[in-house]
Amino acid sequence: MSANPPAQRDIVRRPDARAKVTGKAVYAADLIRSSMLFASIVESPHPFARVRHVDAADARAMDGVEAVLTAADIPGRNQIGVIQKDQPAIVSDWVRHPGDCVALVAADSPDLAHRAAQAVRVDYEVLEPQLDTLKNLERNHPLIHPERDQRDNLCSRHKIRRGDMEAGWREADVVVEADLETGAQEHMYLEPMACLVTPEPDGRLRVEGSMQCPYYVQAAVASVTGLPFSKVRVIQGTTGGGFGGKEDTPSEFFSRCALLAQAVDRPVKLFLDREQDVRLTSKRHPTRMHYRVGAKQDGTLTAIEARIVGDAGAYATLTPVVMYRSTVHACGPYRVPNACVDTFGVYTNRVPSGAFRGFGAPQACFGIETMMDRVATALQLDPCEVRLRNALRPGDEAVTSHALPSCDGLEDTIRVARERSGWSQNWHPPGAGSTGRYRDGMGMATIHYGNSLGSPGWYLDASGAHLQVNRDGSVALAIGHTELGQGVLTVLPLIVAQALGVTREHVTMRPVDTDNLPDCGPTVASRATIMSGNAILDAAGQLLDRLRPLGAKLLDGEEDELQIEEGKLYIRSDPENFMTWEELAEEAFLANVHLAAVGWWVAPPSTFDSETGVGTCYFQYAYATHVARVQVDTWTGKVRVEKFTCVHDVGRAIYPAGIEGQVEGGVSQGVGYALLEDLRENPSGHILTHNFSTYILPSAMEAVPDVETVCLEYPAPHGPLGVRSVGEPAIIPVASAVACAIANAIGLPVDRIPCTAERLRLAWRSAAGEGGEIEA
Amino acid sequence: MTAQTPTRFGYLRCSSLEDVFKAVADHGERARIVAGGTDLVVGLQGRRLDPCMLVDLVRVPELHGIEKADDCLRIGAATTYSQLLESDLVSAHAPLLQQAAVEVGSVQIRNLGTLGGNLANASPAADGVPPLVALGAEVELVSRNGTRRVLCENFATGPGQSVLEAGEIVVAFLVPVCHEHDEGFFSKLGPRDQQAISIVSVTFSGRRVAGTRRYESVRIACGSVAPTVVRAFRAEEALSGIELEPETLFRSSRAILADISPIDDVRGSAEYRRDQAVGLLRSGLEALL
Amino acid sequence: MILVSFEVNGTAVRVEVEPQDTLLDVLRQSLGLLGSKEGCAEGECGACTVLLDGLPVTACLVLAAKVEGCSVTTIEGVASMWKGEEGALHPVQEAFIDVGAVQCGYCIPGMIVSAVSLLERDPSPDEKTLRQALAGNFCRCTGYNKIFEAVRRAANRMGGDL
Repeated sequence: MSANPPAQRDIVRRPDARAKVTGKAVYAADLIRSSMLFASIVESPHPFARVRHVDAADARAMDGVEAVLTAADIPGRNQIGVIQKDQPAIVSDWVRHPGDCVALVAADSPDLAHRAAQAVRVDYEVLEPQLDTLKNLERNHPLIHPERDQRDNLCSRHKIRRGDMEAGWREADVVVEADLETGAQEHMYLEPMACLVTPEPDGRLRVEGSMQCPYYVQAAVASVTGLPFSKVRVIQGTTGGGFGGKEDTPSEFFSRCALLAQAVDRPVKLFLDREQDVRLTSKRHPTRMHYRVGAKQDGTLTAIEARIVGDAGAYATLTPVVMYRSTVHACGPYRVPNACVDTFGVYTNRVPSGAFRGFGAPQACFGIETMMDRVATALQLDPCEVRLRNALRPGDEAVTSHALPSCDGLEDTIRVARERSGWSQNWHPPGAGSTGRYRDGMGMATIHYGNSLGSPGWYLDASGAHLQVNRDGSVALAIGHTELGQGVLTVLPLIVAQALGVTREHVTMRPVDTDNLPDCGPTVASRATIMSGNAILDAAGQLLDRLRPLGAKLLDGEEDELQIEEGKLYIRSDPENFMTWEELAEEAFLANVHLAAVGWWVAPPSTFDSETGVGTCYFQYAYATHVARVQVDTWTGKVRVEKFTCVHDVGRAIYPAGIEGQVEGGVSQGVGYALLEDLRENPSGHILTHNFSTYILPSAMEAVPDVETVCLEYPAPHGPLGVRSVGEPAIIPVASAVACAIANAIGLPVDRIPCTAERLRLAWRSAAGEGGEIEA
Repeated sequence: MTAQTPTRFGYLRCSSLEDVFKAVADHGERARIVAGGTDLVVGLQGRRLDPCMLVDLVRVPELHGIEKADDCLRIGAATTYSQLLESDLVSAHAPLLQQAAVEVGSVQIRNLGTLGGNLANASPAADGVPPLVALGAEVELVSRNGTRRVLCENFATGPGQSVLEAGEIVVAFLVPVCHEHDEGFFSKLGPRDQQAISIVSVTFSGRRVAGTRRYESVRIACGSVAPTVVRAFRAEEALSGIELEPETLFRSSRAILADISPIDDVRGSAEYRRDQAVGLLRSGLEALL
Repeated sequence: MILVSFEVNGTAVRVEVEPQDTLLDVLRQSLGLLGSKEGCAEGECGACTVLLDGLPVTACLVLAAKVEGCSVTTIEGVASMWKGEEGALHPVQEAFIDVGAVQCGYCIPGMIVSAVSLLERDPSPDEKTLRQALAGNFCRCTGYNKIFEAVRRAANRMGGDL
């Protein structure tokens, strides 16, 4: 149960690190094929328009232009929507966001492809862009998808109804209410989207690229090309960051590239430059929220009403499941006897919102955690105490009227965070700390996080693993989950090593290739270690069932007494007399033992009632509490984040340095989300902040100097070896903790993130009077 | 194998001023001078610039070197920010330039970008220019017709616009060396602490009357708050010759509002810029006192 | 076409370039040195950082025509800057591996070039110097903490303290 002392752990070197530090790792943009062409997209300049006519004659006539494709040229189904079938690969009638794809070009240089795309003439009937989610929800508003049966712009709708709201308000001694807002966030992975599609001699298409979800890409490519899945082979290349941004979006771009490759029967490469990548790929859903929370004098929650409106953008993509997660997490990990939660995904004429690390949970976290602090303020209580008072304990019903499985670590994350952060000594009531120009504050945020896909995604919540023991004892592992930097290439061999009793050096991972295994689902939702890990345990179990009898026989002992660890096997009573794993492998080979196994693991089903929100929602949860310490410069509005204390119930820490890497990175992204990353657009919805000079990421200067990661290990019910998710829990509380810390420092509410220096300064000035104490 | 784009324009590497003059004369308006290239290459990539000839003057000897002559530092226009930062002469005689140089871009940009290029581009957000203005530096412009000197504060006439005439080259800066009682600061508000374009910058230079809180010869220059880097004459007036007291600094600093005319853009609103121009001036002065 | 002669990682090369080609284009396309990455093509992200006459620059902002007679070191040449055993990595590279400073890896070649250059100039940089030296290299994965740790560790090792 205790924290891992970092000094005692072994150095685990990531197997992919050497190629990355020497520059030898091959990313999609590094792939070169002879006779390769380059793709370009003909982008709509308008956010909303009707396409009257596309004239590609001039572009087609350009020397070196090999193909210009419009919607009419698609051999398969012009459809790439992952959940709802509302998104064409190439627009045939309506363009619904700036940059929507109207035609495709393949040419023999990137520059020529770009110029040819500009030469395609499109006649548009330009329509007024519909950018306001709240207005778009109104009846009789112009429809962004007039082809749908629905006569509104609603993309998704979820609700929770629990208890008796009237009773909840009656029991409350205090009721706090707020309108809150969260901004869009751009992934800004360092490697822009890129792929190469190569038609193979046998008529298959080989798709290589930077992606999270090869099976999504396979489905999208098969759909548009009309090929069976078996003729679409998708291989993940080294991927330079994803964070959700390479979940479903590659399906969109790679399937377009595949259409071109298929049409010209030559390899075609597509890569987006940074500006295009920012303009054309998904963002974290911006939300507008209304919260109303009732509590008793001692801080006990009596009722929560939450309404969250998310901007889906032009196409549904993942909005229904993102908003599902917002819904389930809208009331935090607290006992809420009476609740009414309504969430809406709304179409607008923006580039689609989609997956971004946390997937709807960071927004909900900002909502509920802001309110927890305001309850504390209203009751003059310590916000840490308010969280502890309401935190779910084993057996308590969550807001969805089911007990969370194995939540005994939750309270402990709060207590340990309080202790490690020096909360009791350093926290002060809002605005009651240092005076003068610089104001110090502390903020806390506590979360639960449903692991993997949950109820709406159960149909694809299964994964496999292929393990092959070679005659020399080396072990090859194939899985369907991708390395994005998060460390699956490191952590899964550790699980193999532990499961088989070999060393991690015995294990080599094969590239992720849809030819290796059937659909293992997406690499998202912090599920790769859990899903692949369990499949590995299954495969390893099958192999051991075949190898252990042989080992026992060779060592002249009973199978029950056989121990295999660290690449050696022996009879427990006689550890000195061992044989090596390599010897066992050779003997097994000579005995014709079947030395390969496919493991498969299916997530336990979970439920969610669409009318009441009653359900188990996810098969297990992770828990975390973060504490931020900040210093606000009231003269400039700049916030310095000085320390983050991050306490995570990770179930079991298999690769502690990897967990630290996830947490430190999550803190950085979350700090960016809270303070710096302000996606700006012009009045017609065109993004203005499409490079590193205008879209402000934290640099080394803004790195939080002190990030303490503490792992608690309360074994999870279903994770392999007790593992819980950590990738997304690492970011979810961050922005909320920062926002709470700012509010605590300055004694003013923070209603909106990002809380940029400008917004903070101007708010401070209007509260503190003209000059805002620059004159102090 | 060669790179895959067709020739878009020509390139001339010049090793003498005469080479530059000839190239510019031959190609007229569509000749484009390139020094460090940090702005130009971005423009070429985005095709916002479409020259017919790039004229590279970074190897022209006259554009290099930092030397002290009489009461001035002569700084070659092709001096990079890194070279400014490493120069003992600059550190001794014009430290304000180094205060600004360290806040330009990143190490990588400071190794390429030149002081001359920063002035010649006439961006209101240039960080190299305000200290030149505040120090009363002159720029030496050379053409086939001769040499003239212009005060740096009079160089830019609008965003991307300057007094530079056709065929004229920015060759060197003449920066008055500082006096023992000269003090100053370059203060920048950017969205980040490095690798950031200024939202506002304020540069102050003044001569402290020994043993007092009084400054004379005050010159203040502001970036990103007007179509060009501007002198803040009203603020200079308000802060010159009087005893500066912490209690009145804010009020005196507000004089800068009469000197600036910021706009709203993607980096910040006019309102925030006004607020911060006052704040930067006030906090910079407080740190000096 | 312009013929440009320069040195890359200690080897003399002559390449034909177009005036608009950047050093990054030439390294990647003409010379097959794919370790330097393009992340923004505007000199902001730092993924293409190389040493030009010993100084870190973003290769995407350097016109190839300008490097006539210059010496360029890319990530592929970093290991040989350190006089270690044959085939050994530079201590900075080793340290990045040892402390787990590498995640997706796309920023890493540029980051390492910047870090190596820093330690050549300043063998034991303080915190501020370290941060400033790396401020032109964005990383979206690590939050920089482990990168700082790696550079400090390399500094110790290079100074003989480890």
